[in-house]
Amino acid sequence: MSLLRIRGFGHRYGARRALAPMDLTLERGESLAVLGPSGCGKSTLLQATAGLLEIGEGTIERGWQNLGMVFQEPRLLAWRSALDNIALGLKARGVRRRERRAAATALGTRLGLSAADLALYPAALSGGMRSRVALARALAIEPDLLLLDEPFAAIDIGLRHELEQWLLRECLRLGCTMLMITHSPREALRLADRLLVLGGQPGRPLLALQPALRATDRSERDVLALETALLADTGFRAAFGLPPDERVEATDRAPETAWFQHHCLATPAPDRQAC
Amino acid sequence: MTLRLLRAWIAWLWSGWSAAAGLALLVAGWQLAAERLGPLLLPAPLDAFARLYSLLEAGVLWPEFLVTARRALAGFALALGIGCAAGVLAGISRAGALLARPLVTVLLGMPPIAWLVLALLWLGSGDGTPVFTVCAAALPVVFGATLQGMLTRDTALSAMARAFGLSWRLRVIEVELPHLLAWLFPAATTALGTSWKVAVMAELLTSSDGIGAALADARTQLDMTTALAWVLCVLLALLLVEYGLLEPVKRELERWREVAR
Repeated sequence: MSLLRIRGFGHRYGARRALAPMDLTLERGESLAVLGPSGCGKSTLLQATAGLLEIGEGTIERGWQNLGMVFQEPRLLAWRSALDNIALGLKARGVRRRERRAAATALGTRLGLSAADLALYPAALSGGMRSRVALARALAIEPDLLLLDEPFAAIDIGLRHELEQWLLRECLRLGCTMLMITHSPREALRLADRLLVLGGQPGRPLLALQPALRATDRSERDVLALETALLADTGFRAAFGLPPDERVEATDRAPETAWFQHHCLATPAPDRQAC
Repeated sequence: MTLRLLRAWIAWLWSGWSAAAGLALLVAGWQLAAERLGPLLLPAPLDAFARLYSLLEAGVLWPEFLVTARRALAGFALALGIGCAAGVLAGISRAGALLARPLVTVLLGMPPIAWLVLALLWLGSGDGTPVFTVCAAALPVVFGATLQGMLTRDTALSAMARAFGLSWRLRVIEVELPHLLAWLFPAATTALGTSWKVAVMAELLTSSDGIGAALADARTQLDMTTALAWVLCVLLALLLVEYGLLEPVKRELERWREVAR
C-alpha cells in the first residue's frame, strides 16, 4: 500500500477555490517536492495531509504511523527549553522523561547544538538554532512521513545547505518518506527525488518532473545543472508566470531529453503559456 | 521543580532590599507627618506597630485576621473559579467573546459598594455578603484576563501540537495553559489585592467581626492608633502574600519571558 494516496482532493476557503481536485501518490522511501507560486494551494495540500484541515472533497488515505512536520516558522513552545521542544513529539508518544531527554540530547548534538544551547529557552536562541531545534523535533520521533513547509526559507544559504545535507542523511538513515513544499527549485532539487509543479488559480498540478538521479545521488553540480534546465523549461516558467527566456539556447529548452522524465499534466491558466 | 521554586524564592527575597528601602522611606514620611499633625490626627508609625503587637499579644488580632482572610480568600477563589471557567467558555466561540466584552466593561465599572448594598439585601449580614461582594469585585478582572488570553491563543502552535499527535490533555498542558497563565497571573494578583480591600470594606459596613468591623469599632472610639494598627495588619498581609509568594512563583513560571527582555 502507498504511504500517501490522495484522490480527488480539492479545497475551498469560503467561496474561493484554492485547489482544484487533484490526485497524488507517495510511495514509501520516496521524496517529493511540490513547487509553485504563492497562493497555488501548496500549503493547503500539506495541511490536509497533516490532518490540520477538514477535508470536504476527495479522500486522503494515510498509510503512515508517525508523522513529523517542519513548519515555515519554527513554532517552538516559548516556555519550554530547546531540549524539551525537541522531545515534545516523544512526550506525546508516551516516551519516559529520561529516555526522551537522552534521545533529544543526542539528536540536538548531532545537529550542532551544545548542552548549554539545549538548556536555553527559544527566545535566547538565534534564528538558525531555532530552525535546528524545529528540525530535530520533527526527526526525534523517527517519522515514516516527514512534511516540510518551506522550512529553510528564512535562513542564510550556508546554514540552509548544512541543514539540507543533514536532513538528507537523516532521512536516508531512518528511511523516511518526505513531502515538502517550497518556492525554491534548488532546494527542491537538493532534497526531492521528484518534483510536482502546481500553478494557476485555483491551483492544480501542471508538471511532474523526475530527474534521472535520486536526490541522495546528486552532486551540487548536478543540482545546479538541473536548476538551469528547469528554469529554462517553458512549462515551468509559465507555471510561475515568468516570461519566456530569450537568452536560453534552443537546445536547452527540452530538459526532459537531458535530465528529466517530464510530464505535462494540465494546461496552465489561460494567461500563461502552455508547456 | 519544588527545589527550583524554593531557590527562586530565596533569590527573590534577597533581591527585596530595594523594595524594603522604598517602604522605609514611606514610614519615614509617615513619621514626619505624624510629628507635624500630632498623635490625635496621625499617630507615629512606632505607636501603630506597638499597638499591632499588643493586639497580637492580647489574642485579638488572629481571630479577626482569620475571619477577614477566610472571606477574602473564599470570594477570591470563587471569582477565580467562575472567572476562569466563564472566560474559557466565552473565549472558545467568537460569538461568546462578542457578547462577553461589554459585560466585562459593565462589571468592571460597577462600584463594589453597589454590590454590597444588593448583597446585604439578598444575603443578610453573615459571611455571604462580604464573600459575594469580593467575588463580584474580583470576577471581572479574572474573567477579562482569561477571555483576552483565550482570544490571543497562538493557532499556529495549536496546529503544530495537533500535527505532532499531542493528545487533547497534553495540548492543554503544553500549549494552551502556559499562554493562559501569562495572562491570568497578573490579573489574579490584582484581583487578590482587590479581594482584601473589598472584604475589609464590606465588613466595615455590614459585619460584626473581622478586620473591617474592628476598624469600625476603632472609628467610633476615635482610636486612630488602633485603626492604623488594623490598616497595617491588612497591608502587611497583602505585602507578604504578594511579594513573599505570588511574585516569586510568577517569576519562576515566566522565566522564559525574562530571557526575551
